[in-house]
Amino acid sequence: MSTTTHLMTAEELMNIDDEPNRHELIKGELLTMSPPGLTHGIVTVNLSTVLHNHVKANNLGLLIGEAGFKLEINPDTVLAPDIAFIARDRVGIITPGFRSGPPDLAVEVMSQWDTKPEVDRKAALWLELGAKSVWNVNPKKRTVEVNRADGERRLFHDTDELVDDTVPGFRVKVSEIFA
Amino acid sequence: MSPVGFTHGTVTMNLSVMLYNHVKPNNLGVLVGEVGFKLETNPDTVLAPDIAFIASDRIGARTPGYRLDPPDLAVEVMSQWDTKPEVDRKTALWLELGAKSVWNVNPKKRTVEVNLANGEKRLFHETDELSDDTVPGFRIGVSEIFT
Repeated sequence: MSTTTHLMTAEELMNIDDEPNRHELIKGELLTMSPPGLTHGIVTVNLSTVLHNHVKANNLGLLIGEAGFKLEINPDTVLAPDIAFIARDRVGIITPGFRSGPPDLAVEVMSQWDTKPEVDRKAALWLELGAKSVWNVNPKKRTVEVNRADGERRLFHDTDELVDDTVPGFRVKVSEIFA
Repeated sequence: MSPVGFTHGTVTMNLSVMLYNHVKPNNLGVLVGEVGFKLETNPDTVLAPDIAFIASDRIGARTPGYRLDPPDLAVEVMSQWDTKPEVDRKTALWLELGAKSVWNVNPKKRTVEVNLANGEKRLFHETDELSDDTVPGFRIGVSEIFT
């Protein structure tokens, strides 16, 4: 992850094209991330699917991958979690650009080049900017850390069942995510 | 790439889940989102499609870093800031570097263009059923992707 000091806007962010890197904007500061490896992709799709199947079957809201959420203006902050969930009563109108406002749940799957302090900083930022819950999924340790806006933090291990009432009724064995 | 907009994110999620729900129970291989494939060395080429499928007989060992072979199928969902020439250029590159098939999903036009390594190109519209032997047995209504 590298940063530049030039303050960038969300509109400028939309026009960056330096495939295959990924970008986010924190208070106008550009974050550039390399694409993750295969393990990250497998874990993200596993978890997306179990979440999607539950959210869809119960009509709970919208599940979305890698979309940009515009969370602050001037300087702009745009974050793009690996998976996001927005509860039905908050979905509103779907527009093609970045969504203004946070999701209920942001899921970040750690890649091999993310460090714990970076992940903690991002989780704190998500919660500060209005997400109700942030899941940090660690494929290496096979754990999921659930960080909630009320300050509660729970660590789920491989043999645990992951639950978080931000997604009502959802439960999955942690080991399934890493299968 | 920039973070994608909401339409792109929804379409990608829909199609990923439909593919996964077919690939996993039929044990066809591995489906992944947004991961890097290192396809050329010195100078290096690393591409990261929105969705990739690797057939079971080609998976081999799973390593944490970039995979060194192309996927069988690369799916690119166009965002509002992608242009058709860019998408065509990327498609040609994928096929040149060994992908068997590239799907270009266009949320605006509600179409899926399937480009095969043998040069065949097929355009599926909203009322069509999408299929491609690269993912054996998979078929879905194109409209389902855009709901």
